[in-house]
This record gives sequence, structure tokens and C-alpha cells, in this order.
Amino acid sequence: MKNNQIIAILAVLALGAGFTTLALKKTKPAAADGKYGDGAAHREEAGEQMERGPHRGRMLREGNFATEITIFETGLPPQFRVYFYEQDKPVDAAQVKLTVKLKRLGGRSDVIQFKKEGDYLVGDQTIYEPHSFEVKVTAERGGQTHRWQYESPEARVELSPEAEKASGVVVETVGPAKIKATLKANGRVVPNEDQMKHVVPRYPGVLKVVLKRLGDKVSKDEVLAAVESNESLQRYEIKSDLAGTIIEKHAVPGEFVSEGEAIFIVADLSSVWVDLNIYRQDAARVKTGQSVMIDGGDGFHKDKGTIAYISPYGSESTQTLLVRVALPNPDGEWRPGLFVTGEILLEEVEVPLAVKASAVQTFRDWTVLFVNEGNFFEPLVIKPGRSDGEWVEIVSGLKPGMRYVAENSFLIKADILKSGATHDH
Amino acid sequence: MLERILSFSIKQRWMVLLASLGIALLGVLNYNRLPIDAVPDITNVQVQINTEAPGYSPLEAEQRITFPVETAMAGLPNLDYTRSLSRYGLSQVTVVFKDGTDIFWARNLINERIQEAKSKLPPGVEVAMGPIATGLGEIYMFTVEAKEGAKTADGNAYTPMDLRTVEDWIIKPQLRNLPGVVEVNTIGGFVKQYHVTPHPDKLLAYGLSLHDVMEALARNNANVGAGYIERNGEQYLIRAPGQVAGLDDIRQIVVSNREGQPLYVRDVADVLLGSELRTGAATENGEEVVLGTVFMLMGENSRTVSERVHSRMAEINRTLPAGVVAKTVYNRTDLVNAAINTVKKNLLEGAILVIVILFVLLGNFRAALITALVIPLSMLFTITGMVGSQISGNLMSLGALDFGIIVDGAVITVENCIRRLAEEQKHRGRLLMRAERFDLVFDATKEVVRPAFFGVFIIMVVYLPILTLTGVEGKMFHPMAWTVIIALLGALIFAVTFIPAAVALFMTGKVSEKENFVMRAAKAMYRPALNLCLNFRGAVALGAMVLVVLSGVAVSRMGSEFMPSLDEGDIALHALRIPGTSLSQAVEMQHLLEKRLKEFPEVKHVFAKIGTAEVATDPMPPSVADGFVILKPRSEWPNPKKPKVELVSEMETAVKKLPGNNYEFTQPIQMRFNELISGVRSDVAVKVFGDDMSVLQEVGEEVEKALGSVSGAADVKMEQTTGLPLMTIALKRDVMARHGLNVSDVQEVIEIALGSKSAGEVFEGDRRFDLVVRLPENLRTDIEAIKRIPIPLPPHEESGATVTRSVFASKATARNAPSYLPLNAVATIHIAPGPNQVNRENGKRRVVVTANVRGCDLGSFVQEAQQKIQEQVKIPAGYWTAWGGTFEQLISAAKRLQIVVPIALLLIFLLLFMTLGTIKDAILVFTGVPLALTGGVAALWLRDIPLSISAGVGFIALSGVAVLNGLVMISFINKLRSEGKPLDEAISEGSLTRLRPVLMTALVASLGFVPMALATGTGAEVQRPLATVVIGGILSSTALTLLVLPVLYRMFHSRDDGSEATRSTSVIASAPSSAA
Repeated sequence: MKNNQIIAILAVLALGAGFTTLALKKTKPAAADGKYGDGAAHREEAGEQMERGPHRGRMLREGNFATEITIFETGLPPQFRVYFYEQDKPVDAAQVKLTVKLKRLGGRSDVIQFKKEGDYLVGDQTIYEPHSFEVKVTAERGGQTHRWQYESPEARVELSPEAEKASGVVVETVGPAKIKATLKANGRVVPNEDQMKHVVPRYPGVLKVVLKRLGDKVSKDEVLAAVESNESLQRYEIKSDLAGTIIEKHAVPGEFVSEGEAIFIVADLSSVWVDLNIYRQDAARVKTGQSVMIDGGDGFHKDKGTIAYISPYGSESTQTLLVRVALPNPDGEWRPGLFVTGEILLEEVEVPLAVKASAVQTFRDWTVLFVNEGNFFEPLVIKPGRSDGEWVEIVSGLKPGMRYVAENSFLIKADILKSGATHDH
Repeated sequence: MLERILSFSIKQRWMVLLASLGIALLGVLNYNRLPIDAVPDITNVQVQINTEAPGYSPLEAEQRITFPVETAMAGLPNLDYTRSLSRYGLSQVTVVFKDGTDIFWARNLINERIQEAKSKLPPGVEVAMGPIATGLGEIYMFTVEAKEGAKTADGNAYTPMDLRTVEDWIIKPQLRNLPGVVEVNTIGGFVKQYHVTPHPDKLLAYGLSLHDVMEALARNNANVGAGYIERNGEQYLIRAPGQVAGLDDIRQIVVSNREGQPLYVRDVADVLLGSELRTGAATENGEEVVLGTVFMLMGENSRTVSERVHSRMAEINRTLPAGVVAKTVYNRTDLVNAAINTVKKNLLEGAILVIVILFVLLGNFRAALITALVIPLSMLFTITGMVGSQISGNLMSLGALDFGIIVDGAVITVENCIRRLAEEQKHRGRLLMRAERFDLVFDATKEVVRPAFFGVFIIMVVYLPILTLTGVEGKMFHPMAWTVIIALLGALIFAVTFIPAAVALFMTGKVSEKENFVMRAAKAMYRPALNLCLNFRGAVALGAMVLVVLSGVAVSRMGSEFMPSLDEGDIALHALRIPGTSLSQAVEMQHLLEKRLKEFPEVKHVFAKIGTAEVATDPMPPSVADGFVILKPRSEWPNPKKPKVELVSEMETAVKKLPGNNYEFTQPIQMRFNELISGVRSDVAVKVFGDDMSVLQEVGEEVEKALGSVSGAADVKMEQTTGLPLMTIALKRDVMARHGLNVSDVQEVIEIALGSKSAGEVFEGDRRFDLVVRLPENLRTDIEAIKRIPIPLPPHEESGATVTRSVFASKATARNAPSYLPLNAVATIHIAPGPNQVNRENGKRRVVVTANVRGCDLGSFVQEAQQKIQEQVKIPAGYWTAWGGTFEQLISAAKRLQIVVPIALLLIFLLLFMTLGTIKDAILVFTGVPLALTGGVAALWLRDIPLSISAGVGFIALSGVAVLNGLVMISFINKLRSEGKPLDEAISEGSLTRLRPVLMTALVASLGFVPMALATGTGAEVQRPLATVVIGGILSSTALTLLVLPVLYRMFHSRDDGSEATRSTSVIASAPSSAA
């Protein structure tokens, strides 16, 4: 009986121990090793695989020899600084001949040569942003050549062709374009002062006959009125010595007129002037000879002219300059007194590299385009030049033939930023 | 006392039965008054203070509005904390009060403080409090749509503006005054406005300014009343209407007069119907729509109100213009009904199972029926009690009811009566006389009433600690605890009144003393098992201990979570884009997203709110969309068995392919609760506090990295507080000084030109629309055009140097005509990213990093995360972190339970001591608790359910049930011993006699929960852990009561010699009678 009891107790203990180990071995439910969060976590994983050296750079190893590649950008434009190790002991950098080739999206590549500086080699080029490239490293030391190659993508997104199509992303090729720089100005149609005559009686007298009314067309030497001179008491005729239109009349029969007082103004409206007001900050860019598109608005017609005259002095109250365009007006469509707007073509240049204005985005502190290669998109820092609202000249950062996102470029920016792209080398 | 009740019940049996019937009827009546909801309302007492600040950038909103408002709220009585958010055009301060604060009182206080703060606020801003609603408030959503090809009265297709007008002026007024509706919040479409858009060129040509146009509009759009005149005994009222009636009237307004020629508005400006600068949009299935959300008043019954809204909606649809429909897209009734059906089904099936077991084990139909009658009686009693104490019927409150546990007391009583009746009938060889029967029933009930009463009482008592929970978990579990306590109280009352009365009255027939074959088989198995156990006492006791240790180990390995979340059936999907995304861009992106989601065959429809609605109950920037994916009923799915988790992950994979969006998946009610409770929408949030926005940003980024590396982390992201593109028009003060311009002169032009400024209202009957002035749309969006906006200069003294070119020139321009400068002459325009929003909590700036937890329990996730952040993130001085999100509740609940659970156990022990009279026996019965827990743990472990508060509540209930059985058994054995039986004989006879009641109570209690443990309907996942724990625990506790308890009793009392045993037992035996 006693023995049985002891055996039973031992059996219970053994069973208990068994179950306990079982329970301890069974880890938490399978879901625990399920998927990680997106983006950040994956990068973290990748980061763990990448070995970091003493200077927080990427360690490349082959045998006992190791190269540590860092990008130094504190207070300087970004540059490569490379350290070398033999069995994890620093090696004099002068012993190594190093070449680094960077291949970027869109078929660009930079070859960087190095020279010694302190205990490291420093690259001879600024590594421009973004730091996203495929890196080929060749290091020669003591007759041995080591080669490494690795991808260092940054701010890069992948978009399947279907997604690209569905979301309306349009990719175009960089090429030349005509860029028009224009300036809009407000102005007014005025009669051509060279073709305007004030008709003045030669002797004071009484107007006897007035033959023309306001708006009447007159030909050269046509009689406008007759005046009885006070001096001779003779009638004499007043003639227009200009073919044109009567635009002003101060003449009623029986009225006394004197010399020096215009009774008619005759203007030849077959050409008119457009006086445009140019604000002072634009004055420097406006030159005589520039072509101007004059728009009457409200159904009036448009015409092209050139700047004939720029006033040598400005208006004190408005701080504007007068710029004059002479326009032919055979049909009398340009009616003096009406307001018009003029678009001055400041310059028209054919630039070798231009992109659609809708392609340009700001990204971090840069002005960028998004370049495309295959399914990948990546920002490219550019320096924009002249623009006319439709096209933007690219001064630097771009090569002809590159493919860039011309429309819906915001989507690419949004996609890069949403995953919280890191800035990590 | 108890005996007196018993004898009274038997004497006044008819009255007792009538009273029971009365209670039942009352319950039936109250059933219609019981508020029904899906989940308990866990929103805290909070008031949102929204201040619209048109045109303010986030920093200015914080500086000029949020800060003064927040400061004014400091020191309010009962204040818990404040948090705030400052964004473009909006400042929102949320004031959270301690639980139990009267919301109306709080709103009054806040109103007072707002009045005080008003003097410190910039003029023209309006401060308003959010609607009186809770997280359950968004009960109903509808879209206003035009049918395909529908035409308006004037033959055009319906525009979003037309639909918005229908919503604002036809639908909303009809809904807003429904009882229980507190607010109808509209988002989407365009609010109709009358726009006067002057062309700068024309203004310039005529020498007019924007200001002149504004003034002309203001002075030509008013009605006046001029009293009355009396004439021939009549009285004529006088009015001089001058309001504009439409576009043409506005065009005819004279702005100026030149050479006798009037200049009309139409000469310098276009007059058209335009749209406001909206802050939000709504989409449905990839189309833009107008979306209305009905908010329920706090404390109303969501099912009633949403049903009311729904039926009114049908009426409203008849009043809409032909071709326009208001379509319901979300109706809370659906969820509530589904959840309540789950509860109903579980309760009904549980009740049926209980009745079947009673019948099988008692072998007597009448007895089974009488016992089972306690179920509906106590249910109806509970309903009355719930209505009385204003508890709503929902998954939590009704979900914990187990009829098995409720009828325990009645089962024990009835069983003993049957047994005694059978014995007595056999003894006498005939049926009993009425008086004999009454006496016997009295005797039989008296025998067990004390342990039964105390047992049920203990179950009640263990629920009491739950009532000490506070905060969210309190709001979640109080209704449940109260419901169970009320139900048990009812059952207890019926067990001591109705049961004796009914048994005495109706158990007239022959009661077979022979037990049915089920009981015989059970006894046949039990007897040898008991003997074996008694022989191997040491091993059995040790085995029990080992089991307890083992379950302890298992618990330590188990995961934990706050609450298994209720599957609401629908999916809420946040789409997040980068700050600065424009509303129209966001709408485009949402279109793509919705089209993709609609391709899933399981999806009924998809709709979304983008940005902020008319009332900023949930202020979101345009870059955030609250999407709702409404699923078809499962029967219409291609694979009705597909788990929702799988569907969600499929959706996630699909939508991740769309560029530019980030996502968070959650559920509508859950999302709203999360937003309201902590202002954070995810499971875990790390808050970083400090002064400098850029430092906060840096620390936040590091925290984000650390959090992302924790396993189980999903949707890790930092709230983006910067990156809003800001166009700054910086004024050149020196240039302005030279021209004699004031800052405000320029600012006014900018405000009118770009932002638009109201110049009055246009009335169309009862409808009123703003009349605003701003630049034509094509100029507003063109930065080159903005640079050329003319700024009128103050009148200049005539100067001789002015060039007069011709007579014409001087005539065409009126004298004193103002001259102009373009905007870029007096200001520089630059665009740079600025802060997107400024968040504050308790008066300090903060950033938040959020994460959801997938496939991993919250508790261990947080632990790992805390460790990682401590190791990896360096936090500068003056900055600190705090944790938030739903896990906050887990920790506070865990802390409280650490105190409360021992107290509950102590309470049980005290009650046991009171019943049994000796510490030894109290300890004996008490051993039932750990062993019962063993079963619960094992059941959870087997089903792979993590520990949660639900499961914890299950353990609490379990402790009570475990003790009840032990109590009944021990007191019976004690009674036998006090009658002089030797120890061993008393133990085996007692155990065998109590086999039937123990089995019965155990089986009814566990089987009553079986439907709940297996249910799959809406809301089942909330009840499953609780039911699982109780079933597992009761099975193990029954085994304990039947096998281990006798062994322990034998061991505890083995040293009692005869005299001692007699003495102690006599004390015990006398205890019941003295208490009675």
C-alpha cells in the first residue's frame, strides 16, 4: 500500500514535470512571428544585415581586408570618405587605390577618384542628392584587387505599369522646348499723336459755316468751315491738311473763334498707339523692339505690335513707365480711349532641356523631378531656369533622353513620402 | 430568518406564486423600455470646443486661439485633462472630465469660461461646443445622390452643389428635430454661394478697387421696414425691399458713375454661383457625393433612434426633388440587431440545454419544469432591474448571463426535495398527505438552503469587485456585473420563495426513488473512483497541486489583451496621404482606392469622408480620409466561411499597390471610441512632449524606428506634424511706407482676392446663401496672376510732373482716380513647408507615434516596445515620453485587478467562514478556487485564446461557482458526521449523496455557456473567452469537488479523534439553525 502510494506520487510528479516542459516549450501563438509593419520595419531588417563600421559607414569585407564607406556631409557638401582595415586594424589609406562608380536611375553614372586626407581617402566629387545609386567599388592594394557592388536606394518607389496607368501618371522624355517669357501690362488705346492735327483759325473771326460734324471723315485739303475774319471781314476757308476723322469739334456757326484755339481736331486713325503702363520692377526687362500681343478683350480683336517707344521718365504718382506700341488700324477697330491688355514677349528661347511645368515638385528642401526607369521612380534634384508656365528650362541636373513624370507627379512624391523615406546612408 | 421565509412561502404558496407572476408581467412590460445597444458606451465625459478661424495657419491658430481657450479651461472642477489640436482654420480643444461628471453641468462651466476667454480671442472667430454625443453617437449615415440621367428643374444635370443644397435645406431640417438626434453633420458637395469675381484688369481700367465692389454690394442688398401709416381706419405696414433676388439683380448693382454713365457690377466682374473654400469632401464607390451623419444625443437608445431616423428617411425621400435620393449607407440598427440576436440565440439555446439536463438528471418532469421556470422568472426580473438602474442591454451586459449559474440555488433545493420526497414515499409506502408534504418540503429546503443561499450569495459577491473598476474598463464591465448581480438576486429570491412554494404545491405525484439510468451509471463510475482517490490521498493531493502549478506556468506563457474586439461586420479604413495633399487630389486618390475596393465581391459599398465636416467633430486634414467598407451579408460572399481577418489582409495587399496612400484598418465604432478616448486612433501610442517642434519631430522619428522593430507591430507611423506647403506673402514695409500704404490695406486686398470675403447674404425664400467677393478661379490659382493683383494706392497729390499725353487721356480717367501697385511690388511670395498641425496635451506640445498590434497580444508588445525605446532612443532634457492608446486601459485595469482579485478571494473566504464556522473547513472549500481556475486556464490554452479582461471576469464568476459546490458537499458531510457517522463513512456517503446535485449544477452551469463559447455570430468574440473559462473551470471544479475535496477532507480531519470530531461537528451542525 505504502509503495503504491509512493509510486503514484512519483508518477504524478513525473507527469507534472513533463507537462510543464511541454507548456514552456510551446511558444506564444504562431501569429506572433507574423508579418512586420511595412516600410520602416523592412528597412530596419535590411539595416541589420548591413554591417556598420567604426565610423557608422558600410563595411565591405573580403578576406582580412575591409573597406568602410561613409558619406560625410556635416558642414560640407556630401563627399565620400573611405577607411581601410586589415584584420580590423586601420590601414594607411595611401596604400590603396580606390575607384567608386555610382550608377543612378536614368542611366547616369559618376566615377569618383580618391585622394588621401587624414587617415582616410576622400572622393573628388560632391555626391549630389538623392543618395540613391548602385555602387561599384574597386580597391587595389599591394597588387590585389577587391571588388564590391551593392545597391543603396533611397526615396525610390516601384509602381506596376497597371498602377501607373490607373493613377494617371504620365511619363515623358526630356527634350528641347521653346520657352516664352512674357509680361502682362495694362494700357489704353490713344490716337497716334503724329497723325493728329489741331485745326486752328488763322485770324480771329466769326464762324459762318461749319461743314463737318464730329466723327466725319475728311480728306486732305477738304474744307471744314468758313470764318469771317475780324480783320478783313472776309470769309476764309478752314481746311484740313490731314486725311482723317474729326475727333473733336468746338465749332458752332455764329461763334467767335480766335487764333490759337483749335476748333477741330482731326486724327488719322488708320494707325493708333497703345500706351502700356509698366511697373518699375519690370522696367528693366522691357526693351524697344519687343513684340507685344494687344488684346482688346470683350470681343474686341487682338493684334500684334512692337514696342516703339519707352518713356524716358516715369510717372511720379504711380511709379510706372509708359511703353508705346504703334498699331495699324485700317478698319478703325482699335478705338482710342478703350482699355487693353498687352502681353510683352520678353524673350523667346529654344532651350535644350525642358520639362513640363507640372512635373516640377518640391521634395524636402529641393526642387525635383521624378525620373523613371523600368518600374522605378526616384526624385532627381534639378535647378530650374526660365519658365513660361507650360515649360520649365532645366539648368542643371538633367541629361537629354531621361524619362520623367510629366503629369500627376504629386502621386509619386506622395508615395515616396508616405512610407517615411529615411535619409540614411 | 431563512427558515421563516421558507415557512412563509409554503404557507402563503398561492400568494408567492401570484407575486412571481406579477414580477414576470412587470418584466414583460419593461422589456419594451429596455435600451438596446451593441456595446456599452465607453466614452469619457468630454466636451469639444471648436473654433473656426478662417484662414489661420496652424501656428497662428495655436498662438491666438488654442492657447487662450486652453488656458481658460485650466482649473475647471472635476477636470481630468485637456488636449488640443490647431490646424489650418481650426482650433479644437477637448476638455475631458472625471467620470460621473454631469455633462450638462460641465458644458455650462465651459460656456462661462469661453465667455471669459472671448476678450482674448481675435475678433470674428466663433467658439462653439461640439454636439452632446458619445462615441456611439454616429448612428446613421446617408448619401444624397442624383439618379442617373436625372435633371434639375431647369434641365441641367445635378451638380454636387445642388445636392448639397437639397441636403442642407430639405433633408437636414427634417432630421434635426427628431427626438434623440442632436446633430446632422454634413460633408461633401459644395455649399452654394453667390460669387462676384471682379477682373483686376477691369477694376484697374475703371479706377475701382475690390473694396468699392464690396461696398456697392453691401449697400444694395437690404430690406427695410418703415413702420406703418394709418389711412381710413386701416393700418398699412411699410416695407422697402431692396434685397437682391438672384444673379441678375447682383449684376445690376451700380458700382460707380462715370460721366453720367452708370458702371454696373457686371461691367467689372463675373457674377456666378460658386462654391465655398471647402474643408472636406465625401465619396462613395468612387464618385463624389454629399454625406450626412446623424448624431445621437448622449444617453439615447441607439436602436430606437436609428430606427426612427430610418423611417423618417423614407418619408424624406418622398419630399425630395424628382431624381434625387437619400441613400442609407450605414445604419447602426443592423449591428445592434445582429449583436442582440447573437445574445438571444445564446441565451435561448443555453436555457434549452439547462432544461434538458435538469430533466435527464432529476428524472422528474415536474421538478425539472419548476426549476427551469426560475430561468424566465429571473430573466424578467433582471430586465426590470436593468431598466430601473438604466443599464442598456448589449453584448457585455447580457453576454455574461449564464442560466446554469442562475438556477444553481434552485437546482440544489429542488434536488434535495425530490430526494427526500422519494425516500419518504418509500419509507411510508404511500403518497404523502398535503401537510406531510409541506412539512417535508420545508425540512428538505431547510437542509440545503443555507449552503445554497450562501453559495449563490458568494457568486454575487465575487462580482462586486468588478464594480470598483473605473475608466473605460469600468464603463465596459459595470453593466455586466450589475446585470449578473441582479439576475442572481432574482434567482436567489425565487429559490427561497417560489421554489418551495411550487414544490410544495405541485410535487403531488409519486416520486420515483429509483434514479434513472444516467445517474445510476454516474454513481457506478463515481464510487470506485472515489475509493481509489481516498486510497491514494497523497498522490491525489499532490496531483492537484501540480495542476495548479502547471496552470500558473501556462498563465505566465499566455498572451494578454485588453478586450477581444467586437466584430462590427464593417471595416473602417483610414487612408492617409502626405500633409499638404490638396482636397481635390485626395478625392482623386480616394476614387482609385474605392474603385479597387469595390472589386472585392464581399463589398457592398464603400464610402469615405475626406477632411473635416461642417461641424468639426472629427477634425481631419484633407490628406486623411475616413473610409467605410460595408460588407455584404456573409451568405452573399463567394466563400461565406472566409475569416474577416483574411479579407482584411487581402484588401490591404490590394490597396497597398495604389501609390501615395497609407492605410489603417479598424472598425467604425472602435475607431470613434479610440478617437474620442485618447485622441489617438490606434492600439499603442507613444507621446513625446516638449517645446521645440523640430526636436519633437526628431525624437518621434527615432521612437518610430524603435517601435517598428518590435514584432507584431503594424501600421507604425508618426503623426506628421510638418510638411504643409505654406505660401507666405511677406510684405515689404519699406516699399509700403514710400507709397503710404498700411499693412491692413494690403492684407485686406489679399484676403478678398484669395480667400474671399462675405458681402452679405442672398435669400431664396427660407434658404440663405453667402454673397462673396473674390478673384476669378483661374487667377486665384495662378501665382503669376496673384503677383499682379493691383493694390490701390492712397490718393496722391497732383504733381506737375505727371505726363499728360493727350486731351483724351485726361478725359478718360476721372480725377482723383487711385493709382495702383501690383502685389509683388509691395510683397515677396515664397512657398515653403510649414507646420501641418500643432498638438498639445495638458498645455504642452507633443507628437505621437502610433502602432497597431496584429497577431500578437498588446501586453507583451508594449513590454517589448518599452524596452526597445529605452535602449535605442535618446531623449533630450526637457522632453519626455508617455504611453497611450488602448493599452493604457489594459495597464490600469491590470493594476486594479491586482488589488481587487485578492479582495474578492478574501471576501469568499470570509463568507465561507461565516457559513461553515471553522477556518479549517473554510480553507478546504476554498481550495476549490485554484483548482477551478486550473480548468479555466487549460480551456483558454487549448483554444488559444489570450487572457483578457473578459476572461478575467470569467475567472471571477468561476471562483463563485466552484465554492458553491464545495460548500454544499462539505456541509452535508459535516451534517452526517454530526449525526454520529464515522469519518470515512460520512465522507463516502456524503459524496455519493451529493453526486447528483453537484453534477447537475456543474452541468447546467457549463452547458449553459456552451452556445456562447461556440457562437460565431456578431459579437460572439467578446463572449467567447468568458464562456470558455467558465466551462473549463466548472469541469475541473466538479472533478475537484467530487474527487479531491473528499480526499482533502479526509486528510484535514484525519487527526480528529472521536470526541474532537463530535465537538467540532456539533458546532458546525448547530451553525445553520442558529443563523436561521
